[in-house]
Amino acid sequence: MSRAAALAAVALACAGLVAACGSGSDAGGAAGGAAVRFQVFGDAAELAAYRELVGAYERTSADDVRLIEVPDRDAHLQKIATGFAAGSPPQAFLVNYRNFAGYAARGALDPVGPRLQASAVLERGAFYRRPLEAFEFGGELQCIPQNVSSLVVYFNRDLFRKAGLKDPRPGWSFGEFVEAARALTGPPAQGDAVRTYGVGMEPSIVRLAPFVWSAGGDIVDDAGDPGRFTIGTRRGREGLFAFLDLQGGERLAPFEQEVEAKGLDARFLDGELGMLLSSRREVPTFRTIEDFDWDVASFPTLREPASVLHSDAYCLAKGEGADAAWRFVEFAAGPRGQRILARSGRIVPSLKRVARSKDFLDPALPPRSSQVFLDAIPTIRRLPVASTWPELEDAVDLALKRAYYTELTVDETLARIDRETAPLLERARDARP
Amino acid sequence: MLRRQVIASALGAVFIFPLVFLVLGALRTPGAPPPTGLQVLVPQLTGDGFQRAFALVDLGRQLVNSALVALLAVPLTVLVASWAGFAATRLSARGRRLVVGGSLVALLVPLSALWVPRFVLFSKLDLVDTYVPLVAPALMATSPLYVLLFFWSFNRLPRDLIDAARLEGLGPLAIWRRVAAPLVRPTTFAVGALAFVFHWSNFVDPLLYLNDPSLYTAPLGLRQLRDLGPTDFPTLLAASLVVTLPAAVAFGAIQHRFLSDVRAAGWLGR
Repeated sequence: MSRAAALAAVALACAGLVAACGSGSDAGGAAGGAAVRFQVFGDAAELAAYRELVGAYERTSADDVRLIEVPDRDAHLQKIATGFAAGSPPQAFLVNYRNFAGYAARGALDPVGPRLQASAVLERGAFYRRPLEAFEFGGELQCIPQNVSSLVVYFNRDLFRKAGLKDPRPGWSFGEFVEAARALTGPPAQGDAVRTYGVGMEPSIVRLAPFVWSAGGDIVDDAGDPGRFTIGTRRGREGLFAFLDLQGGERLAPFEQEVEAKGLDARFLDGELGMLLSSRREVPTFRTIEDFDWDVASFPTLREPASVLHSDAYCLAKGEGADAAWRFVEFAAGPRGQRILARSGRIVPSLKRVARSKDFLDPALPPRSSQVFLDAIPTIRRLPVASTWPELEDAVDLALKRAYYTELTVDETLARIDRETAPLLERARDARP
Repeated sequence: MLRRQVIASALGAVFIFPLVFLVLGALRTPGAPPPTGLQVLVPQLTGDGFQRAFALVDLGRQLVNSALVALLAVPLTVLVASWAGFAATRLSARGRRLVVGGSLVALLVPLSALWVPRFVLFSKLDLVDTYVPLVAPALMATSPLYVLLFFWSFNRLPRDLIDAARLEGLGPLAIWRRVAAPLVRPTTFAVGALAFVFHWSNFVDPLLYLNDPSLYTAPLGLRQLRDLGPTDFPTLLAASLVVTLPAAVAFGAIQHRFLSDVRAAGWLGR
C-alpha cells in the first residue's frame, strides 16, 4: 500500500474513532428514566436559566433532559424544521405562537390539550387566557404557553426629567406619547456626536399591530382564519399613519442609515433614545444599565387600549418520547419552572400566580413598573395563527420598512401587502384542518 | 517594480483594514458604550473581552473540537480531490467532458437542498451527535470545485511525462504520488487552504448534527456571542479574533511555500 493510501486509511480510522467518541444517540435516561431532547435558543443569561431549569427537573425526576442550546432564533427554527423533515425532531422545544402553526398543520405536534386536562400538576385555569388561545390550532391546544409578554414603552427617566416631562401616566394617550417624543428629540448633547431621538421601534407588523388595533382597525379580516389584510380600512389607515408619522413625518425616530450604524438597543443603552417600543426581551440587557434610570410604561392609546401578544410555548413533537417530554414540560411550565425563568428577567410568566409573585414583580430589580406587563394583558390581542405566517410576516415587514423610511406611499404599501400576501393566505387556508 | 509594490500595498491596506478593526475592537472594554464613529485610537486597551468570551461560552473546548474536525477533514479532502482530479485526467475525452460537466452541475446544487436527505441518512445510521457527518463530506472531496481544480492542474501536465512513467512500470497510484502530485503542489496548498476555511467556519453542519454542547465547534460559539447586547461587541470581536487566528496563521505558514512554488512553476510570469 502506498503512503497516501495508508494516510487515507488512518484518516478514515480516525473518523471512525471520533464517531465512537461522540455522545451518540440518547437511548435512555439515568436510572431507568427516559431521555428527552429539549431545544431552546437565547443569549448566555437565558441559556443559564434553562440549564438551571433542567438541573432542577433532573433533581426531582429519573428522566434525563438533554438541553440543546441553539445560538439564535433563525438557527433554532432551521434545526427544528430539519429535524421534523428527517423524522427526528427534539421531543420538546420552545416556539413563538407566530411560528408553530406550520408544524401543527402538518400534524407534527402532539397536542397538549388532552394532556393538560388530565394533568395533576397543571390546571388550565391557572394560565392567562390570551396565550392559551394563541396556541390553539384546529380547535385544540397545541403547546403550553411559557410567557405572556406584550409591547410596552421603555423610557429613559433621566431624559424625561431633563426635558421637563413626568413619567407616563397609566393609560396615557397617543397625543401625550408624541408630545413626549417631540420634547425628547433634539440636537446632540454637548460633546456628543449623536442626535437624541424621542422614540425608536422596528418597522414590522408586530409593532404596527397595536397602532392599528388602538385606532379601532384590524390587521386581518378574521384572526382565526385570515382571508385578507384589512389595514386599508379608514381606522386601519389611521393607525398606519400614526405609526409611519413618527419617522417619516416629524422625524422623531432615527432614520434607516442611523439605525444601521447604531441599533435601537445600543441607542437606548447609551442614553440617546428617549423611548423604545419593545417586549419583555430587553429587560436582562437593560438591567446592566448603571448610568441612568429607566422604566416601562404601557403602550399609548389612540382610541382604545391595545397591545400585541408576544408569547412562546413548550411544544411536543409527536412520536416516541412525547410522554417523557410532557413530564418535563409539566415541570417547566409549572410554578417551579416559571419561577426560575421569571427571576432571569426575560419572561412575563404565563401562570397568573407566578406573574403576581415577587419572582416577577420584585421592586428591587428594574423595571420597577413590571406591573405594566400584567395590566396590559386584558388589552392584548394576538396576530393571526396561520401555517404560512412566517412568510407573510417577512413580506409585510419588508413593505412596512420601505414605507417607514418613506420610500413607499401608504397606498403603494397597502397595494404591495395585498398583492404579496394573497397567495400566502390562500395557502394557509388550504392547510387548515 | 515600484509601481507594482505601491499597488500591492494599496490593495493590502484595503484588505487589512477589517483585521485592524477586529484587533482594536477586541481590545476595547466590554460594557462600555460603543464608539459613535470610527475610532482608531482605543482609549484604554484591555483583554477583558477575551476573558469574558471564554467565560460566556466554552470557546477553548470549541476550538479544540474545530481543530479536530479540520485535522481529519482537510487532509482527507485534499487526498480525495487530488485522486479524483488525477483519475479524471486518465479518462477518455468523452469521459473527461462528462466528469467536468457533472462536477459543474453538482456545484450548482444548493447546499440547503442536501440538508434534509443528509440528515435522514446520518440519523438512520445513528451518527447524529458525532463528528462523522462533519467529516464525511471530505470522503467526497468536500466540494466538486476542489476536484475540478486538481483536474485542471493535472491536465496541464505533459501527457508524455505520465506515459513515460507508465512505461517505466509505475502503477496509477505511484504515478500520482511520485510524478504528478509533486508538480501540482500550489494547487494542493490552495485546495488545502480552501478546505480548511470551509471546515473551520462550517456553521450549518455542526448546528444540525450536534446536540451535545461539549461537541460544539467554534462557529456555534461565535453565533451565540453575536446575540449579546450591543455594548458587548468587544467580547464578540475578541472571540472572532481568537477563531480567526488559526486560519490566518495556517495561511501565513503555507503562503511562502505556495507562492515560491507558483513562482518556480513560472505561473507568476518569472
